[in-house]
Amino acid sequence: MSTWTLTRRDLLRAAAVAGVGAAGLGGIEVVHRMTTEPRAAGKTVGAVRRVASMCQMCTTACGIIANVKDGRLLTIEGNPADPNSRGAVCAKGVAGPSILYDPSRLLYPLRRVGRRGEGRWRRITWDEAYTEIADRLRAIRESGRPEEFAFQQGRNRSTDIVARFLDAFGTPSAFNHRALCSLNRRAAILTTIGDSDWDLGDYENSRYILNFGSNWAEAHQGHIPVATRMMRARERGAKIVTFDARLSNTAALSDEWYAVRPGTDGLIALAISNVICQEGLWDREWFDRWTNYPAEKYAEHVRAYTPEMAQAESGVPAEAIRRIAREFAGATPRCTTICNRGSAAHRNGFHNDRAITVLNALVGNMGEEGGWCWHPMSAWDKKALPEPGPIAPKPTARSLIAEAKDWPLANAWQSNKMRVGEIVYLWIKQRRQRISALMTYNCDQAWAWPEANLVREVLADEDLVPFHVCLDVMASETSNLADIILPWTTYLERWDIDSRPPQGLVDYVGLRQPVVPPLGESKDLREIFPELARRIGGGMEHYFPWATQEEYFEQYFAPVPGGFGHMREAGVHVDPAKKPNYLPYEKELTAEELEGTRTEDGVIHGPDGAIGVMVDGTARRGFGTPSRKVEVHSQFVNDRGREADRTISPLPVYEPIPGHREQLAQGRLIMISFKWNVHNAHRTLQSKWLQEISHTNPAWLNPATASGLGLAHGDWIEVTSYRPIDPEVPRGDGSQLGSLRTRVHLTEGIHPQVIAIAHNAGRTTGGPVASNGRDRAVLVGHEPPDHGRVWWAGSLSVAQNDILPIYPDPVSGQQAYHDTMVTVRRIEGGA
Amino acid sequence: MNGDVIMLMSRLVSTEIDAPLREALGCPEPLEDLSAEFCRLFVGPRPVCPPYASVRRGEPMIGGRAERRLKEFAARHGLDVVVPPGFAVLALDHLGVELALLHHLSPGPVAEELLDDHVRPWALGYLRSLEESARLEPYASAARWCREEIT
Ligand code: SF4
Repeated sequence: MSTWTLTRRDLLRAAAVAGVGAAGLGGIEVVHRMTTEPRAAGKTVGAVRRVASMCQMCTTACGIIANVKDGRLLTIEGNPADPNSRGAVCAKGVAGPSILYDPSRLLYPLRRVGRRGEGRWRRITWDEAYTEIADRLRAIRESGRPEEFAFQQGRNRSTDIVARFLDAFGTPSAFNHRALCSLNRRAAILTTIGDSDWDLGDYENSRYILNFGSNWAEAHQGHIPVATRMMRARERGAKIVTFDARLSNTAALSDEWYAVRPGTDGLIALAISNVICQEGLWDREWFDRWTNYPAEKYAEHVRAYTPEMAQAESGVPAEAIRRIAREFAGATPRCTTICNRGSAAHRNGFHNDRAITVLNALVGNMGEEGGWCWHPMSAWDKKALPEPGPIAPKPTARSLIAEAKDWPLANAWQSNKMRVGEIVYLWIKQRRQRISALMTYNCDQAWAWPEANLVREVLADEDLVPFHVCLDVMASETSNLADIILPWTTYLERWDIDSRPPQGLVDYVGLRQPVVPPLGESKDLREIFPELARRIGGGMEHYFPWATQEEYFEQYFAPVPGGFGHMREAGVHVDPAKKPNYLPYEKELTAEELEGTRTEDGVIHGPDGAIGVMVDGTARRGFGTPSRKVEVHSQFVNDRGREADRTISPLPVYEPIPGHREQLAQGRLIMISFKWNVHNAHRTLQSKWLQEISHTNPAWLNPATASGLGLAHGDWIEVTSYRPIDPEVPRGDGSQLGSLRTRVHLTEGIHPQVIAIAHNAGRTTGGPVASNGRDRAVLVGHEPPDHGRVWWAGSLSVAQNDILPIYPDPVSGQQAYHDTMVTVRRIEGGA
Repeated sequence: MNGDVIMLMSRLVSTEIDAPLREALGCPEPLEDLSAEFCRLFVGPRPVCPPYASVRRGEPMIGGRAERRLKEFAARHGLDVVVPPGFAVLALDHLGVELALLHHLSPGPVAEELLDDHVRPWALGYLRSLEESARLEPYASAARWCREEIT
């Protein structure tokens, strides 16, 4: 505090001089309402309005109904009209109001005062913010190097407006988090069937489900739609078998759970395939007709993967593998696999998911009712509902980071750009690509990224990132390192056209609409980007001709019967004429479709590429692969690998994680991460309702492992991580990376060679709710009245991401989240 | 009760000190530092003293029960408040709003009702916290004097 003190006399004089008492300086005014009689106390005023919209507490985008009274959101429930979620919502969805009205929300544009990261801010007007940002961006655009403006997104459900702005600007430096999420799974499915990058097993109609490391009951991109169908199937007698290193709630809801060593899911699938081939349980006819590889040869290929070998590597008993193979094949075609990060987020995840996908081809359940299905549309029907023009052309500038050419499968598919998110800040640090301005959107890379401390180091360096704008709902480790913070609306205060891969196998479209007006001065991208485009000028403004967001969506939804009005009412639209996407490959091509085509090696080519395949003398649609068949053998990936000097086996194989065997033999453990059912990365940690349910993350250890290390339940430990020993991985020299201190949670529900830590914790900022009281800003001087506010303050909450090495799968770039080797030692006395 | 102290406090917690008010107060601090202090205390990121009854009382959401009760009070007495643009006021349980109402109603039994039922239960403790937490003078002293006025 300065030495100047204000006396009461000064203050009174000032008040009189300035006339604050008479509102001379402009103050809050109180007026009498022209009501004839005062209202009675306690009476409800107005009725509850029910507004259909879409959740975005996670990426599943379930349909919701918001109950709003007097302009305030009271509760959220599911929208039964939504064909994916069918009226169900999870705990996160219900907790929406606690995010909307979170006392720590960012609600005003702020500019930093002092050094970046110092934590001093002042409010600025939107006009000031627009002017400064537009001036910066215009200079970059006019320099002829538009790629120096980088956009870092986390979950983006406003893809239309984001792409529109970045394309109009001309920057290809759009960084997403796909490599931190689902890259390997998508790459494996695209390689194998071509039609889609997302399998949508017909779980509800299935009788046998093999789950390789998908935690659909708690997380998963299709969380509620999948979980509700799984449970319905189980009610009808279906069997669910889960392979997972950890007894997740999904595993607990399964009929059988096997604790597998991380990175061996593909081997289990190959061993199951082997049993199916050896015992003739396969649908050989289907395999020979619909895949590009003879069944006999595949049987030969998988012969080496014996159940005994799988037992030795994974821990799943050989006899169980044999029995499961028989049961799975016996249930065909009403059987399916599901996989996700447990199988895919590994150094060998691409092949794991390839092996799992091909297992379905072996029993001929692909596209069958109750079988392994998919839909060609991962969103709404973009032909029926095209984006309103004018559409900006794609950028011609190049971005070294976005192209990530070291990883041959990351961007191998034109339609599906998968950026290698975990290397972005390493490459900026190494000055491989110059960044003059960075805009972070709904992303907390400074907390959520592997080696998050490296991200923080880069964001703090004004030479590496000269200008950083952060657009988010919450204060975060990342917004702390911004120059300008723009307060973003929550999903309850903004518009989107949205839909997810349809679990019911019929595409649909949904509307996210504001259920209440934006709080404070928050704004959405849909308002910010058009204004920035107008101010940057140079033709950008041409792509934003709509006066209002409503006008844009009126145009967008015009093809829907009842148009925008119907969407606002119902929140969702499904074309009743459309049928589930069963057996799409069987569809016979019409004479019209065949006109002007030529057939080469059985593949039917139209003017724009292959459109079908001859099968037993009939022209059929087939699959979206180069051979129009299920590509058990993929020349495409093999070729892409060769171009990048990497060997990618054209067949699914098991490649042990380099260095794991040796290090496990030395007593090191594999550290994995997981998500609780009430949390979703950094955003849900702001919710008091959700934090009250789950707010801590001790390390799960098997009692057998703990006793070998001399550890008891509750002991303090230090976990030290190491970089991979892998010449194909950046800095893969096996060196020590970092340590964290946590406590032991003993449970049989974990593989003995594994240590598991939930990654939904360890925030240091964002207020006391998010950080378990560590960020004490709000608590200062507030006790005792606020003591009960964060009753869990001080409970264990460790940041795992800082000690996770940047570890891209050399084939695809997928971050190998579950392959980190660690040592564990007992320490005295805590953190 | 001194109405000037109440209204000055109402303004100080609602928006930044601008040039005329800084001059009237004879405050030597640069405007930018005063603005940064306003953000640190009331707006955030991570405000030290969010001036809302709901937050102070540990409700998980801004507004909430405290705002609902105040709205009912205002409706019962046929009162409305007009918040000037640019003021950092998100809900009616904001101290600035309560003090403006108090100033408008004082003296009288309705002001006493407002004080007893809505203001004192949280604002006395809040103003003490603000006095302790403020790093720049106008906020610390104004909080102390305002507390003395409403005690
Ligand atoms: S699954 Fe995701 S989208 Fe659906 S209700 Fe839960 S948080 Fe919302």
